[in-house]
Amino acid sequence: MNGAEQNFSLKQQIRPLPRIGRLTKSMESLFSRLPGIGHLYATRLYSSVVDSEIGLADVQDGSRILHVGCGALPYTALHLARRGFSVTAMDSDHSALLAAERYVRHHSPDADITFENLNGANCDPSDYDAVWVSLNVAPKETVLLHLLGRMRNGAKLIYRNPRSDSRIASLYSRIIPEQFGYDGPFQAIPIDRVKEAVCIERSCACDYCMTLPGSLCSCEECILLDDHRLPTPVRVVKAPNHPVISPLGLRPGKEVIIHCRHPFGGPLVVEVEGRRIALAREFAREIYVE
Amino acid sequence: MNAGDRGSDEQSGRIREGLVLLIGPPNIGKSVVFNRLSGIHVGMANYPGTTVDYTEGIAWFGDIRARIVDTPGTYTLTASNEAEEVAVAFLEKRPDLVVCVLDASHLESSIFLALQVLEFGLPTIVVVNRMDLCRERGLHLDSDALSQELGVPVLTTIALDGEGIDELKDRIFAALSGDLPEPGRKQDPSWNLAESIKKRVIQQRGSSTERLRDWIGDASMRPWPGILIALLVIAAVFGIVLGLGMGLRQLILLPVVRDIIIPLIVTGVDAMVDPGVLRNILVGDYGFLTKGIEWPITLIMPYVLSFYLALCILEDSGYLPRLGVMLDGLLTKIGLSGPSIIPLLLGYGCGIPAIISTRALASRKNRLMVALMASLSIPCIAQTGAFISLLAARSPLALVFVALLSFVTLIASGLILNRLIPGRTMPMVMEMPDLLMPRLRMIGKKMWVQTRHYLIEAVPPVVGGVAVAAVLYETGWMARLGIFMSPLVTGWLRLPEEAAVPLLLGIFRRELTVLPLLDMNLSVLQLVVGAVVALYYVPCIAMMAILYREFGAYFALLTFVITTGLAFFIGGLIAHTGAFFMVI
Repeated sequence: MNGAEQNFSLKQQIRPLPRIGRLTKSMESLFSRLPGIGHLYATRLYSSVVDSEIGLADVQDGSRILHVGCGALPYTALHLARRGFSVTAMDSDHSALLAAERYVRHHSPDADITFENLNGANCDPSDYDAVWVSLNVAPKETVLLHLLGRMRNGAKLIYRNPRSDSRIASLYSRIIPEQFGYDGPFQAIPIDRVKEAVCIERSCACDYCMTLPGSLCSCEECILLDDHRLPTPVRVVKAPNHPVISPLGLRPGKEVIIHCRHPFGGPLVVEVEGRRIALAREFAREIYVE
Repeated sequence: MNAGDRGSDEQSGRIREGLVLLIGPPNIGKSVVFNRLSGIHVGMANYPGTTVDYTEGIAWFGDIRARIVDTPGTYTLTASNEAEEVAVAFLEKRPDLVVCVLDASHLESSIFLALQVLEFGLPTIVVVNRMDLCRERGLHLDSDALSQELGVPVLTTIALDGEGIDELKDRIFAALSGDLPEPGRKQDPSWNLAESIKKRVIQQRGSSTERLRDWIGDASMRPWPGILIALLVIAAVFGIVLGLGMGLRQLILLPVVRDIIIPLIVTGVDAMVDPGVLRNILVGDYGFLTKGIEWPITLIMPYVLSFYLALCILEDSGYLPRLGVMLDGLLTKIGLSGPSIIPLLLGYGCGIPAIISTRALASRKNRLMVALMASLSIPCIAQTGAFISLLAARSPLALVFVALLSFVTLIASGLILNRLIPGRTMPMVMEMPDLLMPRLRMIGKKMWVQTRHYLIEAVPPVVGGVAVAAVLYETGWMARLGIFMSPLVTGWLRLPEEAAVPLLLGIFRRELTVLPLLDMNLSVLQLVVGAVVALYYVPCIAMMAILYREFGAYFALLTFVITTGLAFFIGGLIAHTGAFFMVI
C-alpha cells in the first residue's frame, strides 16, 4: 500500500478521512492491473525514498527484512529485494497480497520476496534484522508497539509519518514514538516532500522491556533496582515520575548505592548523592538500573 | 491582602501590613526560620512532615506588621499529600513576599522547587538554610552565582544557630517597605535545568568527614544492628517514661502537692467556709480543689513530662523515621506503612496531634486507619498515667494485661480495617534525615511548651470534671445517675454504681474515665474491667472534634459508636469470664 503519492492528487475528493485507507487500497489494486504507470512511478521516485530509509536504518548487507502492510503494489519490498535483502512482505488483506504476488512475479520473477498473509498486530518479527511499516497500516500504534516488543535485540523498526508541514498531514495522523509508549531514542528524517521516516533501534532485552515493550530503556543490560544484590553503585536508567521519588534524586542518570534491604518485605535503604532514602519494594521494582 | 488594601494602608499612614510566605522542601528548617522570625513556637522535629498545617505568626518589622505563614514542606508543587496542598494553596493567594527556604546540602531538588515557585512571578527571597551541613560535606556554595541564575536575592543561614537571621529580617523589612525584589527569572522548571544550575553554583572544595553519628545513623537503618538499636531505644523510652515519671511523682510532685499545696488549700477553705455541702464540694471526698489538683498534678503530669522528654529526644535526633523503616515490613502486614509509626507514636502522647499528623501520610486509607486505630486502642499519656496509678500498686500483672490488650487490639484493628476500608496504602518513600544530637535548649523549650500546654489546656477540664462529680456526689444526683445506669454498670460490667460518673466525665478527658475509680475500693478484677472500658471508651471530646474536622461527621460518629460499643462489650466480657473463673 505504498501509494500515498497517488493520493495527494486526489486530496480534494477524499475529505472523509476514515475512508483514506480503503480508497488507497482500491487505487492500488487498480494500478496493479495497469502496471505501466505504477512501475514508472516506482522506479523514478520511490527508490530514492527506500534508499534513504536504508541509509537511516543502516541495514547491513544480507539482512532479513519484514515489510508490514505491503499492499497490492509492493514497491518497498521490491526495491529492498533489488538492493539484495531477503524480504518477507506481509499484508492482512488476502486479495491485495495475491495482487502483489502476481505483480512481483510478472516484473521481477527472481526477486527474493516471500509473501505472507498475516496481521501486523500478531505476527512474529523476531527473525528479522529490520522491519518496515507502511504509512497506511492501521491501527498503527498497536502494530508498532507489538513489533517493537517482539523484535530481536538490535533490530531496527522503520515506519513512515506524514511531515508535519506537508499536504498529507491532514490525511494521516503523525505518530511520534511517545504516542505508543516508547520514550527511548529514535531518529527521524524526511524522505520526500510529504513524508518522513522514523527509525527505532530495539536496544534492550531486559525483563521490563520484554513485558512492557513500549517502554524500552536505552541500556545494554538493565535490571530492577530490587534485583540488584551487590553493594556496588548502579546508574538509574528509568524511574517513575513520582512527586517524592523524583525530587529525592531517583532520576535517570543518578548513581544509587543500596545500603541494605529489610526483611519481611520491608523497604530498601538506598543512597543517592549523599541522601539516604527508604524505598518500598514496590517502588524499587519500578526503577531500572544498569 | 491585595494591592488596594495596601494602598489605603499607606495613605492612612501608620500601620502597614504584609503577608510573608515561607515555602521549601520538607525537613530543612522552615519552622525554625519561622520561630526565629515570629518569636512564637511551632513544633519542630527532625523528620519530613513535621509541619502538616500552616501556622501564622505576627512579626513586627519597624512599623510594618507582617503576617508570616509557615507552610508544610513540599518537594515539588505537584503536592503528593494533603499537607503539601496547603503550601500550594497559599502561593495562589499571592502573598506580598515569598521566602523560599532551600536546603544547602541537597541543593538540586531545592532549586527545582525554587524554579517552580518563581513561575508564580511573586517577589521572592531565596534563603539557603543548613549551611553547616553543607560545609561539613566540604561543599562551597557561590550564593552570588545562585542569585544570578535565579534572578532573586539569595541569603544563607544556619537557622538553628540563628546565623544569618538578622540579615534575613533586614531583607524582609526592606522588601515590605517597598524595596521589593524582582520576581525573578521565569524559567521552565526541569530537572536538567536544576542540575545545571546546581553544578554552576556549588563546588566540592574539601572532603566530607565521616563521623560517629553518621556511622550510628547508618547502622540504625540496617536490619542488623538496627533491630538491636530499635529494641534498646524502645527500652530506653519505656525506662524514661516509667522511671522518670515515677521518680518525678514520688520525689517531687507528690510531696510538694500533698504536703504543701493541699494542706494550704484545706486550711484556706476551712477558714472561709463552714463545714457542710459547700466545704465537701471544695475539699471533701470528691473535693475539686483537692482531688482536682492532686490527680492531674501528681498522677498525670509526671508521665506527661517524662513522655514528652522521650518523644522530644526521638523527634529531634531523627530516629523516628528509622524506626519507621525497621517496622515498615511488619506494618505492611497490617495494611500500614513505615511512616504511619509517627502518628501512632504521637498518639501515645495525645490523640489530637496524632490525627493531625496523619495528613503527612500519602493515602486516605492510611489516614483513616491510623486515626481509627489511635482512637480505639492507643491510650493518651494522661490516660496511661492514670492506668499506672490505678493498677501498678495493686497488681502490676493487671497493668501488663491492659498494655497487652491495647497492643493486640492495635494489631487486630489494623488487620480488620485493612480489609474493610477500600483503597490502597501508599508504599513507603521517605527521606532519612541525618541523625543529629538533640540540642538541650531546643528540648528545654519544647518541654516548657508541653508543660504550659498541659497546665493551661488539660488541668482546668480535669478540675471542672471533678467539680461536676463533687456537685453530683454531694447533692445526691450521683446516686440517681448510678441507679439509672445500673443495668449497664452494675449488671453488665459488675462495677459499683458510682462508676457511672467516670463514664460520664470520660467524654471530656480520657483520664477521667480512670481517675475516679481510684478511691472506690475495687477488686483487682473490677480494676481491670474499669481500665479496659476506659481504654476503648470514647476518645475525649477534643479528639472527636478533630476527627469531625478532618474526616467529617460520618467518620466521627462511626468512631464514637465503635469505641463505645467495643468498650462495653469487651469490658463486660472480661467481667463475666473473670467472675466465672473466680467462682470456680
